[in-house]
Amino acid sequence: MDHLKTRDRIAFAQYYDGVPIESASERIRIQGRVTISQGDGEKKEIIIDRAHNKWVKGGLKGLLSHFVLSDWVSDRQRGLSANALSIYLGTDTTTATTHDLTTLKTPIGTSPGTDANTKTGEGLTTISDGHHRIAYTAIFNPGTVSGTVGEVALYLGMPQDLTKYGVVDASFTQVMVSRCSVADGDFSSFVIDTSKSLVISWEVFIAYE
Amino acid sequence: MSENEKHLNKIINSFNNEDLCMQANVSITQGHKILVNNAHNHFVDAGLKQILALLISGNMLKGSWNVHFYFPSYNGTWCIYLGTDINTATTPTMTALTAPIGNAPGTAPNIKDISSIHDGGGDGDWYAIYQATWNANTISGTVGEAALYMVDCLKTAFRWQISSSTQTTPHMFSRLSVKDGDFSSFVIDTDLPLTVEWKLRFFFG
Repeated sequence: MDHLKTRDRIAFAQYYDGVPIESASERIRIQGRVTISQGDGEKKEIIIDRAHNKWVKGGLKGLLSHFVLSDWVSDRQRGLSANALSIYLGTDTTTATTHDLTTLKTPIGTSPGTDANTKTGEGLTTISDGHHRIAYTAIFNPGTVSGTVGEVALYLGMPQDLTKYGVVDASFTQVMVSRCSVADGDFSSFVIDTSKSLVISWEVFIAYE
Repeated sequence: MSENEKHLNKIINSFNNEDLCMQANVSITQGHKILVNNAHNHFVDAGLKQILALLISGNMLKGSWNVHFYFPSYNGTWCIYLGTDINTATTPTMTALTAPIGNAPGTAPNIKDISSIHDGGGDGDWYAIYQATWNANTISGTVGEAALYMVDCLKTAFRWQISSSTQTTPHMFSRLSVKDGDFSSFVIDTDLPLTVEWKLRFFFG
């Protein structure tokens, strides 16, 4: 449970349709945590340790689409969410994350950014009753990317269609679902050591609040 | 951006938009009478795992014929059922109503519809309202629990693949109950239609 800091457990009173939302047991909270390291083995240096990401509307629209569409049909191979996984880096240090952000502000490489050499992940594991985890990993080989990192974003394939009982027949489009940035106070900017590999781990936790 | 501005942004984010929340509000009406007003449901494990299963999904492989991946609402297959239990609190591992009205999983409503879908691009509140109506004289008893059932695909492997169509059987996704303190039990007036609205929301929180 060490990834849950005190502030994350606080449920602030909110109002919806005039009804107070106060209980901490009636909703599901989805959190993203970002860890960045460079180097391997004993020389591995953790640069960012489980910084807290901010979700953007691409992620929420994707989830709601999932719940209103009917089915996804094809007679050929199509890619779903993790098939379109990418984690991109950027240099911006002045732009805080807003809900309607759809790309990194200043990606490293051609937009949406330089893709990692290796993109993988971990399946669903249960941490405790009602508390589950998945993870995505991106590895950039030495010299693949360079510059000063001020932002990082998770991209996944997500449906973006709110048609009631709509039918999908194409691969999910890659969209930015969350971002972690210096401007949000998530981490301090750092210069990439191009002589070492750079590894980004993006953990996603889901739990009853 | 100054250090003060960064610090302020961090505080604002800790209150508002770092996480993604899912919540559902349930209302039940008969005629002009509001029996349950925006009560908050309790999600069960199938609800949580469904979301993560989507986020780690990999590929739909080429089949000999069309392969279907069925979303939770598949063509109106989702359902809402009512039950009479007033003594059992909702637990994450619960998979069915404790005492459904009618044969398990329960008596299906006569009419089902997703009555509203709200794009939260402007206000950050994304939701769909699942509305179920039982005609007069089709269901009776004292209601102590209600549940939303949805089609699920609870795969756990990273980049899971399917080469044949997924299942269309809905399972319990979330529950509302007297025992959880969500509402007070009520007797169905069989002379009137009964309508349940289950509002599923995604928002920054």
